[in-house]
Amino acid sequence: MKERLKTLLLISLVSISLILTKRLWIELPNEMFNLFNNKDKAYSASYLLSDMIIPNKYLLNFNEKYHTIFYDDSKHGLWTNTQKILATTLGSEDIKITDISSEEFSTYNWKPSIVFYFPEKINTYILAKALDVKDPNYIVDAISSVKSIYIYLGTGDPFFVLSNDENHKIIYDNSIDNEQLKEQFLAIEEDAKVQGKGYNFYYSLKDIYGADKDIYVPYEMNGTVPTVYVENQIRNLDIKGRREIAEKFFEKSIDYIREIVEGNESTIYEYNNKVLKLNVNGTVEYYHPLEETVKKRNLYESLSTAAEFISRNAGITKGMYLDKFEEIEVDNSVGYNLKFKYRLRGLPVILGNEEVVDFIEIEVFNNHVRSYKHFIRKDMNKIINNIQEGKKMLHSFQIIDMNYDFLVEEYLKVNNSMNGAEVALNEVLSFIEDINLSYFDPCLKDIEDEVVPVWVIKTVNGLYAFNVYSGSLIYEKTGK
Amino acid sequence: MLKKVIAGLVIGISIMTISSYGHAQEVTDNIEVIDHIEVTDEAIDEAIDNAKVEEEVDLSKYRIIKPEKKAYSIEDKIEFINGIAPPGTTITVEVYGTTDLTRKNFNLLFLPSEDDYIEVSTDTLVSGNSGTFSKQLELVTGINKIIIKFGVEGVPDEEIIIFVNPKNSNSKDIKRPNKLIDILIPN
Repeated sequence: MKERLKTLLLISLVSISLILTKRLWIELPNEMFNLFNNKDKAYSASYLLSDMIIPNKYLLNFNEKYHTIFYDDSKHGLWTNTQKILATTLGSEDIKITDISSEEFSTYNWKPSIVFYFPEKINTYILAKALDVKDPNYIVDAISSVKSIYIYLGTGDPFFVLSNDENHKIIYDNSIDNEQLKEQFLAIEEDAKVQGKGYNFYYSLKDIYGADKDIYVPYEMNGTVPTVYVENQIRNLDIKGRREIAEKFFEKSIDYIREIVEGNESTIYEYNNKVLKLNVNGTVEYYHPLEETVKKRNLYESLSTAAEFISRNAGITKGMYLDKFEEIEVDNSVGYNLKFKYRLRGLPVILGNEEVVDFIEIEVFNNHVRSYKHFIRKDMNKIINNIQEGKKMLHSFQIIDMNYDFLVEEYLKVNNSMNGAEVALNEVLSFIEDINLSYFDPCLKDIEDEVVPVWVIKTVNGLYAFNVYSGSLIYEKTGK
Repeated sequence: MLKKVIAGLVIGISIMTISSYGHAQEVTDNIEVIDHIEVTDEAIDEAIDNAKVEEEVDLSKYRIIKPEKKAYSIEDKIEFINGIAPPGTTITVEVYGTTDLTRKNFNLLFLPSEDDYIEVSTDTLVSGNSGTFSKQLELVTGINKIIIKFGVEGVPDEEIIIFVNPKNSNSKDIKRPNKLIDILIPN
């Protein structure tokens, strides 16, 4: 019995020593072996990738007259339900593709349908891969990028229209099963038209005032935008919290990481050629120089790497979406600069910080993240009960009307051969490229900073944000 | 021929001279010759007033854009109207409906009389900086008469008739008593 006890004691001592040794050692042989499988791990982030490639606006066309727009689809999940149908079509072998003109396509909004608008043109192949289509069909060759996806929900054969603003491809596929989506759409139509459940109707500026672009605006506005407060998470972090972030980035204990605290309370962490800086203005900056030359860029691999990196390090991924990507070349290596924006309570956020333009900016060279910059502003989820009485939200045409003289001035900056009196209404309206409801983060306070609901008018000159309650211009960014 | 031309010119010049003279009298308020041109002056005043109205009210600046038709039918009760008017113009939009309890079955070919209409809503709009106005109207089932008043002298009111005929409103869906006796059926 005594011998058995001794054996047990010995086994437990050996086990404890093994666990402690593992903690002490940097890499065990089996972990080194796993390094070779990291590439597969990077490609497994497709869920996050599909989360990033989501529309920023949903136009529901009930018929020729009635249209509504959603900015937040979380209540209905229309995109989630369309993704499955779209994935089937992108992988289907039995499809028929034909071209349609812009004029003809603009009349398609008179038919029962949903149009999903993306913030930026999305590579069709990437879209297909993000939707988990193993072997995308020739749609990806027929139209290489997509800005909007239209799905027909009327009677007759269902079809999609993939558009990049210049080209529009109508795609018929016998396997499209949109019955569930159609039922959902009809329920929304019933609620909007008959029950009057707070839906706002939108009308085309092209149809009403003869503007060039088919931009939909409301002329009556129900409801309000929730009051949201955000905080600068970095400044409000103590040294322990900062060290935890550093450990997460480098995947090492703080004992192995060099720490430098600057005079302005910004903190720099350094490990093995990698640098992480936590700025007091709320940005996290990471830099890891290229270890080898990357001669061929791969967008899908780069996006997957970015997705995996962000999901591992950023923490906040809810509401984040890919806004822009551009090709870059650094030290003879080619890669991508990816820019992400984020939504608060379903609405896109515009940052008022002149130092920081994008929520996340990341330079990726296939499987290597060279630099990463993340501006962290967290929703404090404060429940506000004191909604001001009589605080009525202005509709977007009211904003145009209140600021009409200003818009004419901006228009004249581009068309300087004319004078103000000569400018016709439809010309000023044609100058507008898009109108969206958003939040404006003034980035003034580190805690309880109230973000302002705004109507954002995008023009040839740049973008202008107007307070939805007062109609006053609170932010402008000119020059593309 | 030459004589005729000269005579015509003389008459024309004399008429123009008299008009200018009369106008000058009105402006300078010269009483000395007022007895001679009393009738002419009134006529000229009237002509000037008319000219002013015509000059000030450019009817092309007051227009309904949507709807384009004066009478039509729709299935849903929400209708959008808009138009143009100089900035600051106050526009009144009056909506009248018919309950059709008289069971006269009004339609676009058989319109109600003035007495059959009841007021549904009245809205006052002000034309904005862009020189436009708009309103999303909530109509009632049946015939709706919409009167748009620009409130400017010389600008006629616009009248639009919209027949709201819901898609599913047939006798199977809505069972209405046909006669008074139908209501009084014993249990």
